[in-house]
Amino acid sequence: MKVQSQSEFGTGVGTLLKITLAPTIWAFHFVISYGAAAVWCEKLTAQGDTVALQVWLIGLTAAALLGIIACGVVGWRVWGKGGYGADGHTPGLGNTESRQGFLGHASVLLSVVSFIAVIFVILPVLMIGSCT
Amino acid sequence: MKYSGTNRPKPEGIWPPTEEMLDVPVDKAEQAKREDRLRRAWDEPTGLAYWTAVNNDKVGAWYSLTALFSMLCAGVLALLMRVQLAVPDNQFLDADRFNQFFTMHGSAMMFLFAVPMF
Amino acid sequence: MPQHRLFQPAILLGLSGCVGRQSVLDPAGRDASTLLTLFVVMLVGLIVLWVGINGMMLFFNTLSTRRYEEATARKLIIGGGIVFPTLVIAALLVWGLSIMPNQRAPGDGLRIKVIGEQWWWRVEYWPAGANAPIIAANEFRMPVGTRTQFDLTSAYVIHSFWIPALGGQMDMFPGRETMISLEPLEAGVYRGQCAEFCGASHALMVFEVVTMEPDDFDAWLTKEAAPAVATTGAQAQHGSEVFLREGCGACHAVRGTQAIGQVGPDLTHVGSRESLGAGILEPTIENIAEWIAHTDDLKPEVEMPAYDDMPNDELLALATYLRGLK
Repeated sequence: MKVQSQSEFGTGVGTLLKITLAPTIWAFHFVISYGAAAVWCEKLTAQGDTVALQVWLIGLTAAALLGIIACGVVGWRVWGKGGYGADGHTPGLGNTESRQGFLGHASVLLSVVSFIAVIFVILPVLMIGSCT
Repeated sequence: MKYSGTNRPKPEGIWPPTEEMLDVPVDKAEQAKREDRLRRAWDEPTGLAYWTAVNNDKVGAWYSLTALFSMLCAGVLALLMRVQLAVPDNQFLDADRFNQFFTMHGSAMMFLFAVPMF
Repeated sequence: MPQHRLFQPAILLGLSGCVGRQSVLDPAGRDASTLLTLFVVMLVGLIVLWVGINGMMLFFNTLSTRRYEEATARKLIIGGGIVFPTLVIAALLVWGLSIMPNQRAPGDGLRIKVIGEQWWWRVEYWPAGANAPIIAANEFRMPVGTRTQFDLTSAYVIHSFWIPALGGQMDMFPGRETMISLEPLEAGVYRGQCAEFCGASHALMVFEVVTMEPDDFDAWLTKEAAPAVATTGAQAQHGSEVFLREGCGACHAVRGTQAIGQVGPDLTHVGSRESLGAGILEPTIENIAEWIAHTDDLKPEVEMPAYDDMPNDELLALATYLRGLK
């Protein structure tokens, strides 16, 4: 387990990618959803029909949610399978295990938030099936 | 000639200090004089120079008191508006004055109280 | 006076916002009822949550001295802090989104175009299939039970259209057309107002709304579309001459006469309106005369000049004429 963690979470700056990936997926999903809805309603549809838009955005949402779940799973593994025991949260040791644990924990939390947020972003498009 | 920039007194003696040098006790009178000088360097200024204080605790207190004063002034405007709205067809403030009052109340409350304070 | 005796009038005063022709808490339309339901649900939920969270804080910080297991604390935090809020907010979001399309539904036929002017409302009734509008001002009449669509815009500054008893607000922007649709459920007279600060007389830019049974409404609309009724009586006849002589027709239109001005409110049927001056006066003859003579006292910075040098008898004649334009 330790060898695997050390290869997944080194000490270079690229390790930060793991915690930024979930919110970044959320951000892109948000911008693309809103942008696509705006452009669709303004330019690409004459009668305000939104079925095609909804289909495309459901696909995008599914991809985003899978990505976020993957980030969460990776973070969970590195975190030590959610250890809340006596060592689960020893703070501040400047070694690689501590850092991995923190980054994993942070990844899981950010993935949870991003997952919920992506669902909240897509709900209006799905529930309000018109352009007005 | 004042010492500044590259014109600084050259260091003399042994560095780092040896244990024997560190063990030499400080003369009590000299220590008292040094403490006195240090305290005086950090004293609050007196008289009109009080307002030149740079200690951030002091400056922070002045900042908060000013914001609070702005809040009270904007509050007075609000109370005057309430007088106007207390009874129907009141003529305490005319329309233009009322508009000026709520504009100033809002601006003062936000920019002079809420933003500085929070 | 014993303390408790002050309680009753205080309660009555507090409850005075609960009923009335301009109360959000006394809905007379479908949209307003939906909004009130939403409000009450959220209010009750809010109270429950507030009491619950503060109660828990009080309990765990002060009243209870047990030490709790790490696992219990974790369950409480994850369950109560992540799962529960997400579910509650998601439920509110889904419910809110489900009622939104109904509020934006297009009208069932009657369209009313409203243009916000400086402190009065320009109204055009476009019945279904009409080629030309029926022009009115400062008052709206709608049939009960069908959805009426309002197309809103503004002439100079931003206004906002609000009939609290029937629905929510919708802003009116110059150069842009917004839409609100309202479905009244009860016949009655209600009061609406401008809900966006628009200048010195923003507080005096109100209007009356009369909701009528569909048959009554159709009859009224036919009358409204007709030109002005003929003047009867010497006073009113004199008044109509004063009206034309003083140049009132340059700003105010009275269909069927030579007055065709569009600058000010249409006065063709002004006598049958529930209020005067965009909702600020009772429509009595004295008030009409008072208005014409002192417009700027009653409505600061209004565009209509004050005819305070007109002799009293002419003012009364003019007022009688206008009151007779039913």
